[in-house]
Formats: sequence, C-alpha cells, structure tokens
Amino acid sequence: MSASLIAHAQSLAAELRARRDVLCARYAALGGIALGTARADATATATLVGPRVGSLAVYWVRPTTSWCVLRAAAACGEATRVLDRTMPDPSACSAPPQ
Amino acid sequence: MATLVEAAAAVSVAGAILLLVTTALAASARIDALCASVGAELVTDRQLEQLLDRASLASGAGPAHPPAISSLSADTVVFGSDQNGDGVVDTTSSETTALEVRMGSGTTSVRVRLGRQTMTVLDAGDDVASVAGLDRYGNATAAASARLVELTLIPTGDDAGATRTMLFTVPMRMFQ
Repeated sequence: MSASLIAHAQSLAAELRARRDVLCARYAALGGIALGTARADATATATLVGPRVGSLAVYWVRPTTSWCVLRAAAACGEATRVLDRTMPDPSACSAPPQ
Repeated sequence: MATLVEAAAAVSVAGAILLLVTTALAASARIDALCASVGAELVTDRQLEQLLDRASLASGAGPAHPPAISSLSADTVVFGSDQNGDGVVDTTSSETTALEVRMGSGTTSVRVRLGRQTMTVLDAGDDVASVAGLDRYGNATAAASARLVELTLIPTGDDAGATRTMLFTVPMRMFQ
C-alpha cells in the first residue's frame, strides 16, 4: 500500500509539474505575441512575462514576400510552445527587433 | 485487582493503536485512489490541450488570412489554416483540424481530427459534452466572431459532479 501510494504521489507530482510548465509556456508564448514586435534578447523578454519563463524568443518569419509572421517561442522547464501570428501588413517584418 | 487494571489498560491502548492504524490505512487507500484518479485526469486534459493547441493556435495562419474557424456547431468546431501559404486551406491535411464530440450507445467521446485522421482523446463515459464559441464578452457566438472555443463536460448518472470546462484560444482573433 505505502509503496503504491508513494509511486502514485510521485507520478501525480510529476504530472502537476509538467502541467505547470506547459501552461507557463503556453501563456508565455501568448504574451510574446501580445508584445507585437520582434525582440532582441530572449532572456530579457522572458522576464517581461513571468518569473518562471526560461526564455521567450519573439522574432519575424517571412515565409514569402507577401506573408509576414510574428513567432513567439517560449520555454518553461521541460515544456516549450511556439505560436505564430500572421501580421496584417507584410511590411511589419522589416521592423528591427527591439 | 492491579493486574486486571493493567490488563484493561493494555487492551485499551492496543485498541486505540489498532483503531489509529486502521484509520491510517483507510485514509492511505483513499489518498492512493485519489492520486491515481487525479493524475489520470490531468494526463487526459493535458493530452487534449496539447492536441487541440496544435489546431487552435495555428488557426487563421496564412498570407490570405483564411477564417480561423470554418464551421461551428454544438458538437463540432473546425479550424482552418494555410500553413504552406498556397492560398488554399487543404481539407485533407493538417491545415484542417477539428474538435468533435460524439455521443452514441450511452457513451460520449471527444475526438480530434487532423486532416483525414481522427483520434479519440477523451472517453467521457455517460457525460454530456458540447462545444461552443465565445465572443470577447464570454457570450455564445457564431464561427465568424468566436475568440474562444469552450468544451463543456457535464457529468450525469451515479458520478454526477462538477461541470468541467476547457477553453481554447483563437489567437488570430486576439488582436482584431
């Protein structure tokens, strides 16, 4: 019984940690997109959205000349999330990172 | 006489210890079962979130700004995106993804469809499940103005308990 309880408790704790990391990365990526423009320093950007965020890279991606995407890649612990936003104006990709 | 009192005291102490041990074992069994069920529930939720995030977070992407949600009903929401930038939302690839609730033979399943592949990600037993789109004020709305997709699971029968809801964002609508 006690071995099973310890195993289940450890498994639950690991799952809770994983879930916390996933949610952290998910909302950090959303926060990165909300910043609205590319950022030069991923570590400094991470501090803007939360103390648990390991890194938050926000940068421009230009798949084609008429398509500009703002991409936010966030990492919290073991979890990562990448979120794209197609910009209404393709020339947005020309803006330098802040 | 003194021996009898000592024996009675010993029996009382032993009884109290036995009661404590039994109570502790029962509590331990309950905690064990709770850990297992909560853990399983969290894994299922995270799996569903992860799979649906792949659909909802990418929806609306593409140079021609395709509709993020192409259709929405009480049991199905279909997300669209133009990931290769060819101007077309391919209905047979992962450019078209869907969250589906299906009820049949007394059981409810929540499924995620990626292109032509469908997988059941949550077996909801006899729960009643539904899908809805919410606008910026949290009111039910149509596909064209939905900013959030809400999956609701209402327990019924013997295990009737709290209603569970999961919300998924439609990022392309966040800034409109």
